[in-house]
Amino acid sequence: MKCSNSCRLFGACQALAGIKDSVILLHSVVGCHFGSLGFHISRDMSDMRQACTIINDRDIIFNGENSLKQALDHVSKLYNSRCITVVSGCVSQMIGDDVKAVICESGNGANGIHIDGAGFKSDFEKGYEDALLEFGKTFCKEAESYDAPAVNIMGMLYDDYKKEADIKEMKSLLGDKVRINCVTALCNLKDMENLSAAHLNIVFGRGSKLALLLKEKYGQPFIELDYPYGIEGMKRVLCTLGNFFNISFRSEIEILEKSVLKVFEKIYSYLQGFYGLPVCLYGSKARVEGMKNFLNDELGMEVVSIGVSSKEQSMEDFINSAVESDAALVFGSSFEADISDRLNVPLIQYDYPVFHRVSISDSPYIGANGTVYLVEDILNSIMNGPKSKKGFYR
Amino acid sequence: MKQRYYEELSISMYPSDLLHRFGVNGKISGSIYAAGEIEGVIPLIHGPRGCGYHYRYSARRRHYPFFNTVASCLEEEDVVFGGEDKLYNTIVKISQLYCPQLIVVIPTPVSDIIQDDIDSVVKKAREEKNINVIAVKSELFSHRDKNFSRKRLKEISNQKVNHGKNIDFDIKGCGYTEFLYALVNDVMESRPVTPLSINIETIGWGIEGKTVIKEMEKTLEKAGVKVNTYFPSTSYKEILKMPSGALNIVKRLRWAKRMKEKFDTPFLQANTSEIYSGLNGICNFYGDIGKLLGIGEGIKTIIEEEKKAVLEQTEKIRDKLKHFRVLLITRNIQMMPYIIKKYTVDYGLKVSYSVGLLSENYRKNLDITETVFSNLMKRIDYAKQNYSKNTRVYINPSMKMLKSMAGECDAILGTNDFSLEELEIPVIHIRHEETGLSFESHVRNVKKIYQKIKQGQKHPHMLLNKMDFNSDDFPLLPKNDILAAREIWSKMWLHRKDF
Repeated sequence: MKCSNSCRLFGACQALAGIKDSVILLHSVVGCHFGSLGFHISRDMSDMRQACTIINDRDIIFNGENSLKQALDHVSKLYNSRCITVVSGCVSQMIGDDVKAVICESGNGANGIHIDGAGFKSDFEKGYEDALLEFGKTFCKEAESYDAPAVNIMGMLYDDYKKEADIKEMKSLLGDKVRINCVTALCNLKDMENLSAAHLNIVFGRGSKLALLLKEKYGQPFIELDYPYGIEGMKRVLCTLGNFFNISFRSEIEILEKSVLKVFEKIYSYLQGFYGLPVCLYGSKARVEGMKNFLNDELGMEVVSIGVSSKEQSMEDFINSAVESDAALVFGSSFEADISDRLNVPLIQYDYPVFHRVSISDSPYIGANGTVYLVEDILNSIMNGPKSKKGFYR
Repeated sequence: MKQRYYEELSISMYPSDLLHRFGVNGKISGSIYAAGEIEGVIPLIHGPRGCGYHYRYSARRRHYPFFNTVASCLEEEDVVFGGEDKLYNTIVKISQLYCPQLIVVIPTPVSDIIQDDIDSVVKKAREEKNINVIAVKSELFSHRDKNFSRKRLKEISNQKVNHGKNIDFDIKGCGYTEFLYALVNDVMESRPVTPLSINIETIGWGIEGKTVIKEMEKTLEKAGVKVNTYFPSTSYKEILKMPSGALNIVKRLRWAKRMKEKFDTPFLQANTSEIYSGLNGICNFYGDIGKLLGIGEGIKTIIEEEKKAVLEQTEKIRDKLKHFRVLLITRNIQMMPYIIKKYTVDYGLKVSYSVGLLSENYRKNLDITETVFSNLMKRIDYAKQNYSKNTRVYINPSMKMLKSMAGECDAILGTNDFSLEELEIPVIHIRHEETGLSFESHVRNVKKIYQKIKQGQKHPHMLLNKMDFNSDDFPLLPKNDILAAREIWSKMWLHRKDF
């Protein structure tokens, strides 16, 4: 069957690789290493904090602990990192390597952590949740709360398309009113240690296990939100924060709306082309919900087929429903090119993994600027089709 | 072939409807458009380089430029001393460079003014160099007949619903028809006629047009009718076979009338309104084809079978649709009688209200006088009495009234007006309905309307609705500059005589 999402190992890596002063060491076969890097290439190849023990056939027979020890030594010497995250894959689990013991013996007990990433155990989402939880259990401390409102953001991935730009946009929208203490997908170990200094955790679809732990341990509340695409999506975030901290974001919302509409006046005729347009949509739950709301409610499109990247999703069912639909656009990851190719319509890549597009500019997909960039990308994808045609009616 | 909605979406990336609020294409565009349909033909614009440059994109092919357009690139000297030599040299050069099967010279306002004798140049190239070249004749100076829409609307208003003949649809000076006329006149030669064969004009078949043509062929094949060729969307060689056809199914008339004169080929104009509207209209259409081909009786059985099949295929859905009450809203009041008929008789819906939105500007631009308006209303009343007695008809009701109507209905049909989302019931965009003359397209329409009403999607926070659109200027954004540009266009074009 076709896979609707990846395995636990990928989820763990995506949850933790964003901690900049840590290194991910995969204790697994080379395929896991290379495969996960494949989704990283288009994101930021200047950031290479991932290594692998490259388990080989000898390790299978005599166990891989020695290889792990060697690799840990290399990582310790070669990286100036505060933390080593060992993510073990299927093979090391199957041969019964005692990863924790090796980490301790290697002298990395204080700054090393083992995350069980055996892909046969669970999927990407669970891998993400468990890894973040395990990391939080190990490193989070009780910290003194900020005087001014502060939040943490969970649920984003290390290799999320538009990650840096989206975070920057979010920070700019919150301004001085709410401080972003930590975004787990782009932070350092100290930020993770001090998660409890914030007053609230915002969970964009993923990270609820850690959020629950922080609630139980430090009384820190959390709210789960869809990824905030569009004006309405961002309004929901601002209103939620406003209600929580009893502050007003009215002027920010007004500016947000006005600035988007001012730009969109330039393309109002194209926007009219979106009205009633059938489209299909695939992605992680929070992204799909956020994008669905934006496309349907704000652009007036009709989302006729939806797939959520989870273990429960039958990919065949989604593909069949999408291919049989009359969708004129497909929104998803780069893998949904399969569907868009079959429908012969454009693919708008917005969710992980995006490997057929790069995003190195400061061009978010959320907030005022993000809404403009997203619509611009949608329009350009449509206009970017083949231009030579024998006859208009041939 | 592109997926249906994507094709339509791509087309909307060249928003010609919007551009038409500020202008119309020059006549050259229609000729380039026609040339672009034909394999083996190169259009040669006899004019300055600007025409040769921009008409590649403004060739009525929307977002698809026609790259193979060439021009004689007239310059000041040519304007003073004549451009005939330049045209001749360009024809020879093009012939050597591209070896086309046919070169068609397209006149421009500049060549018209300097009165180059294009026919003589073409004749010389044919005779001296043996180049296959013809010329399109200018019917009007620069652009199409601006009174076309007004005259047509007036004619429609005088017609009884379901009783009149289809009104001719032919715009003088649009360039397209002139191009086709030139082909008929200058390259087609008499051939033996193949009985029960048809030529099909390929443009203007609406959403899913290509599919509808294929389906039409399938139905006609059952009666032994075959396609001789398409026009103009085929190769030049195929077009030469046109006189073998026993009947032309056409969208534009003048070229067809010329074929009738020259080869005695009868023609049938394939409109989707009046007698060809709705399911019975589709039956009438095939019936008329049968009559013109001399198989009127034979085709009757096939039509009856097709109609029966359509009714069977849609029976269950029509039963379900009976339970929905809809609010019909349209700006096209001349078509309102047929829209009422379609939704009630063909789909089985209950049309509780039928609303016409008719702005002052629209009335003025289309010269809808009190008499024309009164006649249009009589047609609507006829439809109400005959197809849907309980439908209440309103023209330009207030928003408060519309809200009250919407409160009694399950969906809004017949419109693409996003501002109606304010009424808080699903708006079923007109893009979901085809206007085809195939039985299959009728089935698709019934199914699609049911699907969309059942889905009942609403779009509560549309960005477009946060802009200040208003009904009078729809779909223009009523900003000063935009409205000024529109008004100037209106004064300089539609109402030039008034100022």
